[in-house]
Amino acid sequence: MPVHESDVCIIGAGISSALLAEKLSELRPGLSIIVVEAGRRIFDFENRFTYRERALDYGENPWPGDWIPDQSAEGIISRTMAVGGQALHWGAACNRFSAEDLRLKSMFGLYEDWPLEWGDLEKHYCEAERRLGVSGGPSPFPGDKMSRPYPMPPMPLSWDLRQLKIWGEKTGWPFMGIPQAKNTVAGYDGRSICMRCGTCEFCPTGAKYSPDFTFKRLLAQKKIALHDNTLIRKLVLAGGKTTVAAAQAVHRERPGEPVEYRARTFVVASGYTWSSHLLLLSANPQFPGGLANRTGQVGKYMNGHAFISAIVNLDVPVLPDMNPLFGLISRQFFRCPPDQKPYVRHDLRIWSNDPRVPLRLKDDRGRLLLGDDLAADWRRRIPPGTARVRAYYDVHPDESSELTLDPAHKNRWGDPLPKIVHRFDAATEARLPATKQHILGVFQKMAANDAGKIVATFEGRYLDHPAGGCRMGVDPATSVTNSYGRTHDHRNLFVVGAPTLPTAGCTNGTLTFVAVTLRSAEEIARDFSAGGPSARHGGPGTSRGGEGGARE
Amino acid sequence: MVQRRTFLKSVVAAIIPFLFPRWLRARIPALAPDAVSAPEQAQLRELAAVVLPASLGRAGTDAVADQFAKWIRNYKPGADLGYGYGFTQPRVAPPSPAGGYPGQLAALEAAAKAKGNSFARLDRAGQREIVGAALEQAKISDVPRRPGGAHVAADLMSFFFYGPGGEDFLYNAAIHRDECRGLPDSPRRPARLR
Repeated sequence: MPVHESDVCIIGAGISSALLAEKLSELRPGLSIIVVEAGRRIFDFENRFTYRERALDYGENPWPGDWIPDQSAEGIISRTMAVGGQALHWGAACNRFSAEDLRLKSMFGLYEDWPLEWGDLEKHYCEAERRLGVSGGPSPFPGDKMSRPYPMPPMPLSWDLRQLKIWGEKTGWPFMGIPQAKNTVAGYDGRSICMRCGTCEFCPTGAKYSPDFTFKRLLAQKKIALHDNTLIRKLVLAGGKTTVAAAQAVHRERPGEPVEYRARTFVVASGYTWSSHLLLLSANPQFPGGLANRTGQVGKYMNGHAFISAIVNLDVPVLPDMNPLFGLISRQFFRCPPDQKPYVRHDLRIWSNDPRVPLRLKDDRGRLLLGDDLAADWRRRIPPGTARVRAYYDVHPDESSELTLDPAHKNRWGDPLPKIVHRFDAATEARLPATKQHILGVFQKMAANDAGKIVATFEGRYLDHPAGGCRMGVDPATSVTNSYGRTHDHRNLFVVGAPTLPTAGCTNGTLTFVAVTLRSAEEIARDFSAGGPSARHGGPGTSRGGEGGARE
Repeated sequence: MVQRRTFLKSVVAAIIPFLFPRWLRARIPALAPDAVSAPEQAQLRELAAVVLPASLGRAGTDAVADQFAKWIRNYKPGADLGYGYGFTQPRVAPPSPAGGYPGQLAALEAAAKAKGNSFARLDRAGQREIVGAALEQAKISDVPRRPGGAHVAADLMSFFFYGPGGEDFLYNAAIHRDECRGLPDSPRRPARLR
């Protein structure tokens, strides 16, 4: 059986993993790091334009083969399993949370406080923005003060967004372009400048931050070893101890040959679904409920933010598709006065939109419409402009908002797959009607400008930017990890990124996933310099049945 | 990170759309086996002249018809369509919508013959009447968002009007949504087409 040894074994190769590996390799240059990923590496940047053409013309997957057929689940999950993870597809929105997110209990008497200070998180936001290469402008709100400006100037507002900003700000609420990990300056981090291709989910020019770039760079610099197509099935403790000794895996293309990873430190960086799943799968007589689960908290408090959208017809002339994945944000409602009842916090976004008016084949008199007549009829019926507005609003999970193992569904290795059910806590449920009423009122106020009219509203049927399952906290009875992602039960086992978030705030989560991961990296590095596992120089080793080692 | 050569290739690829408009690129012969025969392609051109805007000119409607034929040829049933965000089931491309086109084109031709001429030689009013009846029979009231096979005339309109060229035509603006347009022009209103 191949046995791979390293100082740090990172399980999962998404955005948190990429930046953790990068920072660890900088803080402890001699550290041997192996990153293990169940999916494959899609390092064919030269094919991006071809994939893009197929995606635009036929709707084909622009990241072909970025999923594993039998590695699925019930509930809202990301199917992405490839080097780069879900962030291969991301739109690169890099909004910060606000200090209120970390002080829900102490400020509002709701849910829980996070076990870290805003100043500490803010410092790591700055670092995340530098590493991801974020372009953006300053927020007008004092509470959003940044200790360092964004590393790149904001993306210029396209003509449609300029019209929509004027429209939105008639409410008195300031709007700005959303900060994004896209280059507005050529060469930042070796990336090209954004060419406004309008397909940010599969940026063909490399202007958007993508974790596969980081992995390729770390591999070229021989700072990590990357084992893709390798599914970790179980973590195993050292005999009689609580430290993790090994990760048992299988190579998907050599299913008959198990693989083992031994490391001083294990980091589970497998996102909000597969992190809890692996810990639960790793049950043993000492931890019958799964690793890091002495108090039954693994898989609990799965979270995300709820959302409501509306389509608004405007008297303002607006054209769609000028820069479709770039929009406006207002942070007007990020904060809620502590004495305001009911509590409500949300972001507020605007994009230009298709007017959603069908191209009809008959006019009101039943006359056939083709060609120029059809186009003229459509032009007569559309409004001058159409906007889509959306609010992500803060909701808090109940303990029973959970990921469990589903014995009815197993992968080809016989491992039960995860099942996720999101549930709100009682306080969230109680204020939901008032929250929705408030948000619809906000939309109405916006629409009232320039004789706008709301023509449709949509309520999200799932929680966006899901997180949780390995909640960070001070008390092991109610959390899985400490603020650094170190599990309470196993000194050398960390969980990083999305799973550790107690709540998902009220705006995009990726920047926060990365910021808390970068903070975890410092703690992991400290272990290798303060009497913890010492760094072995020489990189990751491989042995077969203990017969010597070889670098990848 | 992005290699210089890779980046240059990307830039060249990004510039191609500006040098060669999409309708011109569509004229590059497809390598895939023909799914639309030459006579059918000629019929598509005749049909395009009826259902697409005459203001495109005959060369313009021919170009769209040829591009649609290329789209049909390069369609890959069973292709990985990925999975939408939040959805657990990956999807694959359904069978080509073009399966029924030969029969539908033949039916248009037969209807024209019943009026005493070929479809191509009928006057425009006669052609419109035949197409209108076919769309009525297929119970199509709006142009479908994407070609779905219900009728070739509707799919041809869908291909054009919901494509980037159709969007520009409808808004009379050079939005060029599928092209990499760069940032400098972004703050300006797209130029009018006519």
